Amino acid sequence: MDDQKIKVYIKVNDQNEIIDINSDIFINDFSGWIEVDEGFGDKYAHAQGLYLDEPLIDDNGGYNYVFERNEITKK
Amino acid sequence: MAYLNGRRIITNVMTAYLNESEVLAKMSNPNLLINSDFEIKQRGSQTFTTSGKYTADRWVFGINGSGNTGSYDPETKVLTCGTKDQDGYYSYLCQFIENPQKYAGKTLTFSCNALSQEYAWLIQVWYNEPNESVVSLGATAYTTVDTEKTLTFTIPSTITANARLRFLIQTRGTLKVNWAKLEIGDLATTYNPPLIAEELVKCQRYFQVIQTQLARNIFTVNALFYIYLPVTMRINPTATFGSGSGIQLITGGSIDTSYSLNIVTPLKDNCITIRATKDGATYTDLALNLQGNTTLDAEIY
Repeated sequence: MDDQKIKVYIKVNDQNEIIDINSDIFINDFSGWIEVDEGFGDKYAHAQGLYLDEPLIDDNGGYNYVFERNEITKK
Repeated sequence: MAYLNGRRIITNVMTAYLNESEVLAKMSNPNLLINSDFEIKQRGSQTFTTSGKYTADRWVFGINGSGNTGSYDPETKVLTCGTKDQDGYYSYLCQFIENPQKYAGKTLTFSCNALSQEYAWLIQVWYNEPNESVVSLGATAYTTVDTEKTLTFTIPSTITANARLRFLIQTRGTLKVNWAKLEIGDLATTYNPPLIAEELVKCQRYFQVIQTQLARNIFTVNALFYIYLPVTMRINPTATFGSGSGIQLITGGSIDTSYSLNIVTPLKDNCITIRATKDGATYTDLALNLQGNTTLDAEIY
């Protein structure tokens, strides 16, 4: 009866900027998505709005996060 | 028959004929389950066959057993298990409870009314803390003929806010599920069907379907659109933008779906903010056009 962990995925552009984030609950086609973490709870299930501290895009339309060396970092 | 201010006093009548526990059972405790009669169906009435997905509001459909199949039809309220009458093979409906720590150490009673069309069914309570195995807090026996089952159990006193507490209705065959009730105490009291209008509001705390068109006259690379919801949601919801959603010239023209749409600010009361962004865009006077199958999901998983 053990539950499976919820997986968090991201999409990046050519500059490794993160352009999308979501959990496997809401992804139907996994092509282009990169798995970055897994766990239990709202932070993972609703990763789109809860996994990162800040929005993906800043007030000027630029991306806030990059994915390099298997790590998510704030720009 | 006694009356007070024109209203019938039922308590005296009841106590004249019933003992104390029977009187209590005739009264009705609040139901802690939402959409207890499965009437709210914001996700639609099509048959659901994918395990782990929400079906009728607040209810998750699931399948257990290697290679097993199953379905739930919200229209008929019939739950079906593909592999019939085998140990470990079942289909289920379950509901997660928000803030389970509120019930720490309390005795609760879970009851369900259903009609087996073939093979046995039961009700069960599952509990687990994050990263811990799931344990059953209680289960009734699998039977075929019963149309109503009741289960009384105690919530662990150490349960945390992050625990997953869920209430399952399982079948090894085909089961028409009429209603379910969860209440505080060791007695299953009378089930009263909820009002649909009130129940929809409760459900929208967890899931909403939106369709809207909002205009802005200032727009270059990105713009913010504020959408006011009928109900404040439990947490920042996950938005799934409906096919064809995007940005459209106010003066007309086709919808440009190449804009990136994101919820960008924390939920504040009942307002969410959606940002539309597109590199190199120079348009002004644009509208955000969200198609009817755009959803906001703040469910418990």
